[in-house]
Amino acid sequence: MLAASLAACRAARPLEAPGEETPSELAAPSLGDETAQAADPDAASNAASDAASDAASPPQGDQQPAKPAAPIRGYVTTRFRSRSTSGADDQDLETALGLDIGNESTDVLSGHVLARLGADLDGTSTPDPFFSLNDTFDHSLASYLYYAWVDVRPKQAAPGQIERWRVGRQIDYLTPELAWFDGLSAQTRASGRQRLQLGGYAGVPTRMYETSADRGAVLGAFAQAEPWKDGRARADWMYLDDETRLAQGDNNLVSLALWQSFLPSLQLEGRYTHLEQDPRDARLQANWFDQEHELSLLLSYYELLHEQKGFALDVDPFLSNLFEQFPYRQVRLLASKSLGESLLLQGGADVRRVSDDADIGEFNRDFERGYLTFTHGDLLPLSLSLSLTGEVWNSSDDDIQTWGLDLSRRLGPELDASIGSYYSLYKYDAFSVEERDDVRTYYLVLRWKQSRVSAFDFRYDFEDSEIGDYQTLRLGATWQL
Amino acid sequence: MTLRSPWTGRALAALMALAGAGCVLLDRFGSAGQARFAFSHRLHVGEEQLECVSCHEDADVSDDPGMPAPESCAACHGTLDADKPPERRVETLFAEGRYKAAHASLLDEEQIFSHQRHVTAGQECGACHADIESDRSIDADIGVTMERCMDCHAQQRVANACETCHTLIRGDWEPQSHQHNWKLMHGRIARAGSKAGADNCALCHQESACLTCHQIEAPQNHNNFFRSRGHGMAAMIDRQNCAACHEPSSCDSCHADTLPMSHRGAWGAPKDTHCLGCHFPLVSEGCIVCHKDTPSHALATPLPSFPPHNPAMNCRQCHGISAALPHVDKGDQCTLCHL
Repeated sequence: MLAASLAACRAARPLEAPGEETPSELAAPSLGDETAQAADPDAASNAASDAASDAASPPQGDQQPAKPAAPIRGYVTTRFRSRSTSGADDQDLETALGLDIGNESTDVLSGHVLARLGADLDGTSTPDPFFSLNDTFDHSLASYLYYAWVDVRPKQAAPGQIERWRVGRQIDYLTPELAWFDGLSAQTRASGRQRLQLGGYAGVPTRMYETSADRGAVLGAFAQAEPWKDGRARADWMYLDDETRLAQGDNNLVSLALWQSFLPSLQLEGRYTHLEQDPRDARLQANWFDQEHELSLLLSYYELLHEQKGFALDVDPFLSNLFEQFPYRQVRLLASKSLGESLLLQGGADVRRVSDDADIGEFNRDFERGYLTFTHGDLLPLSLSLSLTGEVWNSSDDDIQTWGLDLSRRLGPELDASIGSYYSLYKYDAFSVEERDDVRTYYLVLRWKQSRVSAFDFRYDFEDSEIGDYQTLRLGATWQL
Repeated sequence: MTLRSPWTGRALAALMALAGAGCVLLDRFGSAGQARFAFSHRLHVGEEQLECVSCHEDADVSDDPGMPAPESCAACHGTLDADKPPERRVETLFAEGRYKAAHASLLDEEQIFSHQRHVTAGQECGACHADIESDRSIDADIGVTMERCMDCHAQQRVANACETCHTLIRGDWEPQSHQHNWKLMHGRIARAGSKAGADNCALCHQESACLTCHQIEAPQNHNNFFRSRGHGMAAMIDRQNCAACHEPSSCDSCHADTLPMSHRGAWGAPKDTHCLGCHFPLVSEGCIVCHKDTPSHALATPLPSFPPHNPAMNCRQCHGISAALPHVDKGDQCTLCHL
């Protein structure tokens, strides 16, 4: 890897003579936009996307004062869900609210709220075949506050000075373990040619389904920079205090991550983490994204280096339920290729091997997984979009298979319809008896974007399985604010 | 139990650190000793104190900065280069009368930019071309990044709308990269934090745009069957998939009130098929997920004291002669529970 990195760095060094870079790559980072997500089947996602797109929508005219974006943007989405099976039924109402306040790229003060309210309209009975996470609260009305933060971005923050304070319930995806907490975070503006950026955070971890008031603490700091051409490095330290599970216990987690781009298409990345006194895990990954040929490849190697047991909840891979997690190695390959305008192939494979055969057990397994999806976007003469997918997991005499077919058609500029079916087979040895559960699901989906501010969706699922037949009807509406 | 040496992890960490250090060193000192011949702003602006317009003659009167022609350079270098070897003469920087490295700062035809407009508005050259007086050669860094343009526009309260600088690109414009397999790719690109091309998500997306998709909506395979049975299987095989969204409290909250689907039918008395799960053979870890201890075992009727019983006796000599015992083991292992 070292030799490859050095060779790549050498290859990436600037040249005086005309090189591979095109003017547009040098001077004009392309713009992205939210419309890519408009294809997402979920109305709420569309609403959020559209809201963000609105936020990004620019004022007209050259050199004109910037037209202020709406101070509050967002969406409300409401869904009624009815489920039924033989002798039982369940009706729920769910509402999600997402709000962006201010514009995070221009305003001193901005914020974001994402919350959900769920109501079980007809209560639960015992035993209830529809019992789920939403029913684990004492009341039929359950509320979830996912995020609620306020950003303060000092005007004219010089490089090296703090460019953003964030207070409230927030999340950071870039930390070595997901940091989701109620607290305060800050980060500096990138400075110097190496674009050094520092940051830190502290707070109380957020746990949606844990009733204990004593949730411990999470705090950490990071430094990231672009110390060489087309490369980025990030170092993290996290301190996790878990009073509930570890009594007076706490854990320190440190990580080092590197990213390196070669040409526009190839990117390598690696991350290594160290937990307490032992190495925890390492990941090496190569991404090849050839936009011209619409080919993407991902090859990754992951190794859990040390037994995971008795750590704070945030770094605990289900110890209380699934016990120790033993070291393993996993290789993953993902590939995606477009063939012409309307054909798309996606496939992937995973192979995991527990490092020591003696550690193999019910919750520490070798497995192989493979999947392939074929999509034809314009099936003549009906202009149907056909998608076929298959997925197979194989693990120590247990296997899971899924086979699916989806037919979609755009019925108008704002109306989409999909009909499909997928089949799942679960098979496992339980008490020396091989058990199979064949599940066939049929569904019909309609989505109607009535206007820029309102959209409606309908979905009906019928599940046919050994356990029983389930029917699910979902009616949804989304409004943008 | 693990036999893995911690040296493996340390070796990987050391390898990554070495790779990083190697890149830094190569980036900084890689060209030392090569004596690459290149145009140096450091020499012309920093040391010789030449004005920008000495070479870029049109910078303040035209949209284009006016790249120097061979003749302009020859005004000074005609005599300066007389004694230099051919490969170190200024004409080697030109091809067909054009400066070879001009591509480094060329704008795309789609982009709108006027040097004159910026200079007349009072902007110093260094406001955009920061530290150019220290550049030893022309490389990709000489181009002004869009981030820098937008920062300055924000500070000067000039519109940062797409159409300020672009003729085609608008807020609803979809980059080519966002087509086809973008859903599969976007996470990797976002995490890499690249500032190149269309990978800089923050150009158009607010951070909150990620959160709705990745938090509220459950994956499509989380149907009723998955809820009632399939998820246990998935957790057994690959717990990391679950951990992407769920913490252990998700499991505990539900299973405190809900028995697994397998605990139905002949699971309990009188068949007690569940005993097989743990004891025959004693390999399954599944039971102790919830049953951390086994108080129910202590509830089994103890061996009668009269007539005297001991574990060495064959229970089936007296019990279950006419009909099999209703136990799952048919009376073969009575002393496992009846102590």
